[in-house]
Amino acid sequence: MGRIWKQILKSKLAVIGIVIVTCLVLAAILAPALAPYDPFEIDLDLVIQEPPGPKPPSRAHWFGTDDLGRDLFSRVMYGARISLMVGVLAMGIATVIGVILGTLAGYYGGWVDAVITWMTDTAFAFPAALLAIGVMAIVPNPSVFWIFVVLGLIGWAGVARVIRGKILSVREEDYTEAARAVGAGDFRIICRYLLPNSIAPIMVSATIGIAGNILTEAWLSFLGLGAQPPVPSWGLMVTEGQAYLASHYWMCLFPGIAIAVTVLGWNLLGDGLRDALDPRLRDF
Amino acid sequence: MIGYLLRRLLSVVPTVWGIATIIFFLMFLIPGDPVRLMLGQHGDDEARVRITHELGLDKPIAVQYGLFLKRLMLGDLGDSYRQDRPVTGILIERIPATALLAFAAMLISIVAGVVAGLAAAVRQNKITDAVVMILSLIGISTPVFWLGLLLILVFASRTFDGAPVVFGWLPVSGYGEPGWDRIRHLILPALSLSAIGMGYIARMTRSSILEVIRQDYIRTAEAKGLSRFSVLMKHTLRNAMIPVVTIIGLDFAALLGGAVATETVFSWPGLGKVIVDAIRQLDGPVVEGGVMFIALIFVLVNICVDLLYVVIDPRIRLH
Repeated sequence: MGRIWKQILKSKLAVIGIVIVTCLVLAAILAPALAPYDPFEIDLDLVIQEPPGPKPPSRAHWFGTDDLGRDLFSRVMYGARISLMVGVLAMGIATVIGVILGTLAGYYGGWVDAVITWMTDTAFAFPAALLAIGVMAIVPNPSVFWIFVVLGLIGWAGVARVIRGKILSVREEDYTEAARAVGAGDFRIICRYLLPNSIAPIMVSATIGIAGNILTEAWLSFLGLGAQPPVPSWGLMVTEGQAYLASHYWMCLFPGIAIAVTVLGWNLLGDGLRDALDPRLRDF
Repeated sequence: MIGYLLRRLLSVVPTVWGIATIIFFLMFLIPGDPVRLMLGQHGDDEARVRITHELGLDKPIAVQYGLFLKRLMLGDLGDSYRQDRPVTGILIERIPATALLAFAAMLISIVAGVVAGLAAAVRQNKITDAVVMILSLIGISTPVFWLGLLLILVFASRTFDGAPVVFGWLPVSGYGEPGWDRIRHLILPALSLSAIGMGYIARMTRSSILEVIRQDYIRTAEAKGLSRFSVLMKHTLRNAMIPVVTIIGLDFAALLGGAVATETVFSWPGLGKVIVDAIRQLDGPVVEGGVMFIALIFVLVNICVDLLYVVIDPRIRLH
């Protein structure tokens, strides 16, 4: 583990990624303590002050306020919670499904493999974002909860493919054969010998998957198919600012920067992890 | 080649069947009673029963599924609840707009991505390299819809913060008239949609060139006295393009998804806009038909990418 850390810390970009992700996690956890205002509190007195409307960034409101007088800095900070939850929880669901299916396909082969590979190919043939639209459009009341479910159910294909390949290559190793020879059961072989060897690719694909999930959540919420007002989701905040784009740019600008920087952080971390954990995948 | 093409096309059948099955069950779950949506408030019970029967909604689900597949094979995606006409027609008339946008975005991202990746590889570990790598990561990480809004703010708004802006060159949204006006309307949506692809292609080009440059045949080419430029263009770039083509194929998925957001931001009348409008109008058949349609395009594009491999790399055997 120490060696891996050293490897990661060697890359400047990976360090930037770690810093960004750490800040994000801290912002999400400490939002109630650090946010200067209540993110839901509407301040109409402020809105009607001359000139009426959203107020520009100032010392009192670092990112300005929105059309309802809510403090944008506080809302962006609370937005980190949603972004982090969606990213990590959805990836968790996807990873569990992907690991189970990928392991089954790689270990048992035959028709199990054929069916799972077909499922994986179908999932890949489908632009994930579009499937998410299709599902979110039929969900009775779209919300962040449904985004966890949908992204979780869509995102497993990548993990399954990686795990299947890894298991296929490890299955024939001598130590697996030895374990089988001394009478270890399938479950034991999978858990003790096959999965530990697959942790590196799982971590890499999960980190990059989190970045993708955060983007998709922002995008669904932007289209009105995700978080609903007054939830401080970054994507939704950009939508709310769209009408004020030319006159009150800050309503769109800051939530968008938050999305871009967060996704950038996870991508940098993913790149760094990949270079450190699996040098063969480097540069890909 | 023909045999390979046929085999490849046949392999699409199970995939498309899988997609169709998912779509069917999604449609089945759609909220709102389609019959009521079609009739509005005026329908009496008799009309309701008649339309339910006409839509086949009174049959068992297995029968409905069979009919759905049969209609699908004939290219029939059902009728829109809101516009009294087939979904296929509604979608087909939107293809040119999305194709134009996707093609323009693809072109920008390939040209800019390959040039940037090449520049980064040639100047590995120098400042150019660092700048290209960071910019491409930013391109990959920036939400397409937000980038679109930023571009509008900078290049299309007439005013900024109340003050007039010098950059108000381009139209804010819309499709424009055919010709020069269309191109002016195309620039901003195409640029915002191209950012992700540009990032991926630049990264892939760079790493692929760095890989190829170490090969023996490159050293041979250099040793026999070819100019650096000639080695780069004829020997390196062509071989380095193979993995890049894969990325271009994969990137197409992101592009189609991104097109939905871009078309919404710029009111570009393509497939993505039609889907989003249909979602807002609870027009189920158009939503699911549109998603199905785009998935089909995606599958077909991937076949084209596979064929492109064979053209670029004659070493790939056709089986």
